[in-house]
Amino acid sequence: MMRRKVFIPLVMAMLCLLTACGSKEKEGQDQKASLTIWGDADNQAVLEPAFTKINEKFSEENPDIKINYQYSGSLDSINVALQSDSLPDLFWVQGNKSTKMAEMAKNGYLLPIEDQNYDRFTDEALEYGTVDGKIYCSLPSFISFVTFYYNKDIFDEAGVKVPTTWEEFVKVSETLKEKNVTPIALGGNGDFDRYWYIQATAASLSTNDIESIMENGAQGDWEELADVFDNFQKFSEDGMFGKDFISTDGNGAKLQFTNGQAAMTVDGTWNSKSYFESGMNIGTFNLPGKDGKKYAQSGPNNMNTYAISKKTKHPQAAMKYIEFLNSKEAQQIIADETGEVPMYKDIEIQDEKVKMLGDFDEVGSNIYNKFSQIATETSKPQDLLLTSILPDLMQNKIDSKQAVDLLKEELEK
Amino acid sequence: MDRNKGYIEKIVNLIMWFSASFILFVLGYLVYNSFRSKSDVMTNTLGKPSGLSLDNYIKLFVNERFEKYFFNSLLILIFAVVLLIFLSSFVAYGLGRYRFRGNKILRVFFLIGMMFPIQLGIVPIFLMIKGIGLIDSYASVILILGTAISMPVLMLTEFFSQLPDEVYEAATLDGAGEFRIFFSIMFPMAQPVVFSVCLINSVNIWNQFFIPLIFLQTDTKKTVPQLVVKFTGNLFTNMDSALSASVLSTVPILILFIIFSKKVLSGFMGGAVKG
Amino acid sequence: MLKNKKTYLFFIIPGLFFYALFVVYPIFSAAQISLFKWNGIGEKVFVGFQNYIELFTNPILLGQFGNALKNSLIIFIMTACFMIPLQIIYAYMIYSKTRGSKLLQSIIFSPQFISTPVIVFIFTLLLDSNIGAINNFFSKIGLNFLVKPWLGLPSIGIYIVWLMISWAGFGVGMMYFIAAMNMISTDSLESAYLDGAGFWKRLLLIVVPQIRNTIFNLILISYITAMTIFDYSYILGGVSGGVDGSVDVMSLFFYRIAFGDNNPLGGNLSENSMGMGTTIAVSLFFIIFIVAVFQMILVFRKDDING
Repeated sequence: MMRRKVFIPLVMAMLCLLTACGSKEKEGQDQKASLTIWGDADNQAVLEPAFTKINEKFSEENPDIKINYQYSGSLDSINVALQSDSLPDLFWVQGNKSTKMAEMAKNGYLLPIEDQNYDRFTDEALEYGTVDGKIYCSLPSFISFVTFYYNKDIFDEAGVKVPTTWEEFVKVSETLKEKNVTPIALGGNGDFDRYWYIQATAASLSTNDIESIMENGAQGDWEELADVFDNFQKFSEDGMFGKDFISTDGNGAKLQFTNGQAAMTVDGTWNSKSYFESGMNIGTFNLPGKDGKKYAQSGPNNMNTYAISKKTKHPQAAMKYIEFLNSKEAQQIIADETGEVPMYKDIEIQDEKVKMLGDFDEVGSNIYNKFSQIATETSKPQDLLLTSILPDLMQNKIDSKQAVDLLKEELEK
Repeated sequence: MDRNKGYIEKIVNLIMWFSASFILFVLGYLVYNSFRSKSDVMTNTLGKPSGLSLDNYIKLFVNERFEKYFFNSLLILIFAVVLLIFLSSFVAYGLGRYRFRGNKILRVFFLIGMMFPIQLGIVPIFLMIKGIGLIDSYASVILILGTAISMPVLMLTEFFSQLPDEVYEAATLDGAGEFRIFFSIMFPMAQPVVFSVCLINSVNIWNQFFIPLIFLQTDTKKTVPQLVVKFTGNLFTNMDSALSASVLSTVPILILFIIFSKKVLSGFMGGAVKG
Repeated sequence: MLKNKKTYLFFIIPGLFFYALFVVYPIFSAAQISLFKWNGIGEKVFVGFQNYIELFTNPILLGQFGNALKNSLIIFIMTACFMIPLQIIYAYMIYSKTRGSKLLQSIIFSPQFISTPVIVFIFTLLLDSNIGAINNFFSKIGLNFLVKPWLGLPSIGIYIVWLMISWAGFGVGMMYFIAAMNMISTDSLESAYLDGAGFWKRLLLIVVPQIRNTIFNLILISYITAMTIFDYSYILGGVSGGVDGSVDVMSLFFYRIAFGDNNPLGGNLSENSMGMGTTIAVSLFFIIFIVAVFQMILVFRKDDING
């Protein structure tokens, strides 16, 4: 008997809840244009302070537009919304970093963005947002790339200096190794954790090769790229990444470095805040190439790139939001709040450490991004590189010559 | 009478305590690290901590309003579990007590829900929920989680089919209706199992991430796992909050569990059948 | 079991209705995608069973399929052979109110509540070769040969995955067994005590036969779990399933093909990601379904003999 007494009121309450929520959905249509925006759920922790300010500012300047900013835009939820025709007015996109935005644009899910002033932006940024000659999102303004973090105390103790040429970098690593210090902490167990090292070396050593692959495909001798693979294999073999790095995961490698058990680590600029705030004596440098120039890697990030759904009821209000994201004002807020490295000179960098991150002469080619741009249905050089070539090189199963041949084979498919 | 006096019992008991203390050790290490500052864990992982503090926890309540997420999770949990147990014990009773054509087929049919990745079926569900206007409501998540009855039906059917017929027959002779028999006799008899099913499914619902992710869009409606994922997305940067949020999402449910575990252990049946 | 009028319908229909609507209909609705070539966004092209033919003839796909299935089966077999017997023994001890049974039960069940990434992270903190507390302990007491990057060794990768799944999920099976034991008649157990039957005799001859169907059910559940679990493999080995696919499992294989290129660097959307992904999911469904039907037949036959 007792069971029934509990059950029935609960079921009743549930029905009330169902109907109550159902009716609430209908209201809310007033004169104000209301924009629902889906922010990047996966990077909420990083972006939240910046976008809170951006939205405040935008609401101040546009009192007739109501912003409903939600961190609901995971790749999964955008997928579901897309397939069930329920996209929000605006949502973040990855531009040309993935083929998704292009697919959405081609299939008529997105509103092309018009009447914006693009004087400030570089060709790379414009390319990021363009599909078939039209621009479909607010343009990127920050780059994320991989940089070298080093422990100043260990460097001092070993008597080595920040390398200014590629040869010096190799020499520094060797010197550290001789002094029984693990030169570079690297998580060999994770696809991306181990790839970061290649992203840095490939940009610094083989930008020419990558660009020629982009244009000519599998032709050419790819000596620079062979050097990159050679170095990775040799460093793996010589223990430059530590003795068990093949089975160390990304977090393990980072902690190895922050615990002072390795002199350097390769990691994204997106993690810089954690390193800088750790209280350690940490510096960063961007890897010099054989020409002695310091390289970052191309890679506009999607912090402020948003697209408009074609179904939006307030296209003009949505355009205004895009315009605001394209403005220096909004981008300055992101720079101040996140410590990201801006792509344009007019955005001021407050933090000395971010200036250090931004200390590079050239932006080299991002091998993964470039490869995925030329990938086709049957040939996916970026996946081959990530999940097959790098682990095999690391374990000494293939040499650089074979690695190059494998890539060529894939590209010729 | 002490029934555990055999030496095998003593050894097994010892092994159990050993494994329990390993679990406690791991959990303890988790809790211990949640009281350390991020930079301390980062730069001095193994050494003596520079100090333990509640900062990570305070941050969760002040910056993230953890209690809000917690309340949402609790609300969804309670309603979903009630719906789940209500539906599944009915179905299980129907399947377990009655013999009819198609019984076997139905039993397998009720298992299908466990065999297919939910990520694929999500679009049709989404369209349905959208059709009844429940997107971004607790009700959507409750409905979806509360109707995934495959596992409880499997376990409960087994138990209902084992209940002795005599009890049922005696009740029928008393002139009690079918539903009364179910509510006042059969359901209470299955209590130990119902409690276990309840607990295990509570944990599943509590840990559910994907369904709330798709259906709850407003920040104020999100659940604890969604908050935890916000930190675990980049664990290295947010390890302080990730650890403390994990502890906080575990402890209250664990207390609830300890309270309930008495019921699970009560060994209800022994007396009931004999009497 | 009762042979009875149509009363059973009243019990089954509410559950059947909601379950069919929210669980079964979406599955079948999604399953038809496997007959199309589709990337999830663009146009759907009907291709019949071409996706299935592709899956079982393309050497790369088939190789990954085989490897993932093998690893999933390893997880299942390890669970069935080691975890389930241990769960039964533990459950029996708690059922017979061994010293501290309530506390033991709670402790053993508790890892269930912690999210997988945090579990993996805490194991990293314990077992990493450089900063792991346990490895540090080993090296301090001179057992240097035990100092290993345990979580990442490719040769034992899938067993590590299994151990972590078991560490976190041990309590679930145990709880079901305790519940099952609470339902059995105590008469036979009483007399066994009076006869002075030992621990194993009581457990194997009296308890186990009476919870037989629960054991079958849990074997089925662990089979389904082994086929559908993927978060540990995903976190430990990334979307590719670790070096040489050492921790790849069936669900991760499905995820990789259907959504795999979703990553912070962008990547590519396969022309047929959803089509092929669904094909894998449907194949996985049948791999599970056949075993479930077999199990039902097995359990039922025994029921009929008893009844």
